[in-house]
Amino acid sequence: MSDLRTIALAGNPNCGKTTLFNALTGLRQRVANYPGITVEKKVGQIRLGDGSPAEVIDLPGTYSLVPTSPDEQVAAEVLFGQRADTKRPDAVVAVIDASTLARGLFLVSQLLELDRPLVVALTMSDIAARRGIVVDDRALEAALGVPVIPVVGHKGVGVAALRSAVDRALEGNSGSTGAGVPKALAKAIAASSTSTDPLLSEIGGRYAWIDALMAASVRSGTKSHLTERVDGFLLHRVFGLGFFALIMGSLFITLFTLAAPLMDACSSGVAALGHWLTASMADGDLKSLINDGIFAGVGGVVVFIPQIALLFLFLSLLEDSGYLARAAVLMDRLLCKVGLHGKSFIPLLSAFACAIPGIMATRTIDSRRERLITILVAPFLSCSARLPVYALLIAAFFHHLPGWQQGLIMLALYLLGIFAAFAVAWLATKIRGRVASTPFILELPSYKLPQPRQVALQVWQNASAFLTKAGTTIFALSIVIWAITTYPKPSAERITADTSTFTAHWQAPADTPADKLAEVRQDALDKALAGKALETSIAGHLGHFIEPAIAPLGFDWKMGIGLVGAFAAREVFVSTLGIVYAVGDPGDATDGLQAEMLADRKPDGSPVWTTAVATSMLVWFVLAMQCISTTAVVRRETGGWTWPLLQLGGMNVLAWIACLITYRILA
Amino acid sequence: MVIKKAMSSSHTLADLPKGGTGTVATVGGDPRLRRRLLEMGLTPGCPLTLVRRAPLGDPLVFNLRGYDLSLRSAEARLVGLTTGNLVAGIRP
Repeated sequence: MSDLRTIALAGNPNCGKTTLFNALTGLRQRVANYPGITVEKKVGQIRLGDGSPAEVIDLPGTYSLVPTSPDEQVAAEVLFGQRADTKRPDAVVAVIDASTLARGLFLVSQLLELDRPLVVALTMSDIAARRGIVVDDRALEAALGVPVIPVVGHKGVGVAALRSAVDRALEGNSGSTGAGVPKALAKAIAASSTSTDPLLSEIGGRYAWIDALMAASVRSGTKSHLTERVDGFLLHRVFGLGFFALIMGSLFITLFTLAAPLMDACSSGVAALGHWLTASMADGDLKSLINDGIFAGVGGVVVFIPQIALLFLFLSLLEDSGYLARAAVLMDRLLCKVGLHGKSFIPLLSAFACAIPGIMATRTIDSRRERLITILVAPFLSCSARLPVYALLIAAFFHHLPGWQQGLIMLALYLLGIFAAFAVAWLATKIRGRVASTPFILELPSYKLPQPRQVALQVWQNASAFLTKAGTTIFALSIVIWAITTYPKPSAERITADTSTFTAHWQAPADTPADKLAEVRQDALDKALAGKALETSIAGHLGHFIEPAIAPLGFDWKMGIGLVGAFAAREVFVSTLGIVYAVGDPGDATDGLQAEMLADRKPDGSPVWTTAVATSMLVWFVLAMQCISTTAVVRRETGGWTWPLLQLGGMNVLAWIACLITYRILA
Repeated sequence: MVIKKAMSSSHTLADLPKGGTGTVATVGGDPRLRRRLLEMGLTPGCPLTLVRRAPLGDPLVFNLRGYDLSLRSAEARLVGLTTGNLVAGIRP
């Protein structure tokens, strides 16, 4: 904690608070978490009038200082000085939206009681003016007894005036006393407190004061005709649902068609960089660690960036335009039936890119019960890391089917995940006993054109938050996976024996030119030895060790090694199989891996990989919880080990049973 | 003018027809929910309009105090309306 003076920005959700924060601080800001929870803590720096630096905190949006969600809780705790990790602000800027003034003033009526220097920033005056709403900010200022500064954040209008008002507020008070509660507010609350209903009298009193204040200082206008007309279409029985399907469909298609080539480029770029850097190094453990541990780890993280960035781009555009709130309204009925909530929609949608941002997005859900269930089922939705595995197995075992039928199999896998998520959510709600359903109270903000700068900043902040949270785990696990697939190394005798076995059996492919023969032979020997080395490593032993458990599902120890590798990140399954099947890095030779898998035979001569095995494996990847990074995030989110372990155990048991049934039916 | 009894349990936000307007008389629900409904501006005397229903029938979208608020029918039923529009002069 620093000795800098701090200024907190408080306001309703959608009031333009973050835009104003960006305008005030420029890019001098950082996003962290409040310790112990994943509510974002946005802090920026400004210089005060006397040249001294100060910190600006962008608090989560809140309607009231009596919180109902984890987000709002943080805002209230910071303002009351109840958080050990954050200094009580020296001044508060209340951000209120001129087009929804009454609700903003409700929060102001509570902020006035905080006894801190307060400045009111009036945003969206331009939007309000278009609707004929004119706010007399001078009259408002006189009535509130604190400065009221009209601002247009994205154009920078009024920002300088706001800064000097904050300066004066900090100077005028040594930090101990605020402006005080306006007499009229105290009177209005006192006037209604004669009733026997303290809650109604408190809030009714505040709104009575607000109504009087607005009568004196606001020329009221009409409601937003644009928003009403757009909603007439977007919440329409037919067009609304059609448009929703269209938006979600194009999101998916974009994620897959655009992200897949970018993902490939990222991972092969990183691998190439590693090889280039180590080109002059002698072969050995260090080189292997750098290439197969560190750079593979970095590649494993980087590969997610295009998907995650695209996802956040979509979400920012949808959110800033105001559509996400409508999506929650459209989906609430459906989600409600399985024990989820309209607000579960955004987390679940995000989980199709990666469960981690999805789980992080659940913090806007007010009810702990529905939040936990959303976290519990989010990993069932097929994330982008499953895609390479689906693609490999479908291409290898269903290649005889026409393309559109392969596409249908892919779709079926996604639908299976969705079905499992809904079924488990429904079951969890049944088991825990359905208390009265959690309320759905959601403001529908008026539609706005997203500001490119805000969107870009949001994408950057969210993507880097993902990289630091998931990236560190994926990276560390990649090194661990490298170590257990490398050590212990086979003994020299073992290598000699394997080499002679290889020499006895190996035949050059018929089309090998004579001058390339030695090179091809050496290459094949290296790959064969790598496969043998993997077998003697810890991972190989683990593969054999878990074989009895996975044999009923049709899996053998080689697949077991792949499954062990998949715990770093699911797509590692593909590259681990590449090593087991001695085709080297399958990044550029997936065809080779497919051929090897198809050619693999059991001791009795029957194929190892049958359609039944492949289908069972696909079902495993849809349903099983294999992602340690997700488990780590769930632990952090839920504040304990109960939920992550329940999720890990439950999903894997469910996957095991489903695979057993699949395999028994098909085999 | 005869002012009728200001509330009737059979007449709530959930009973408004699309486009229909009413005035809040009472707000019920458990204390936490009741507080939030009141905080969102659903105080006695506040006029509001049912703008539309979601395509699947629920939730509902209301316009009040210059903004749109979405509630499920379950919450809307907790908000009693004055009968008719006889309570006047509460808001400008």
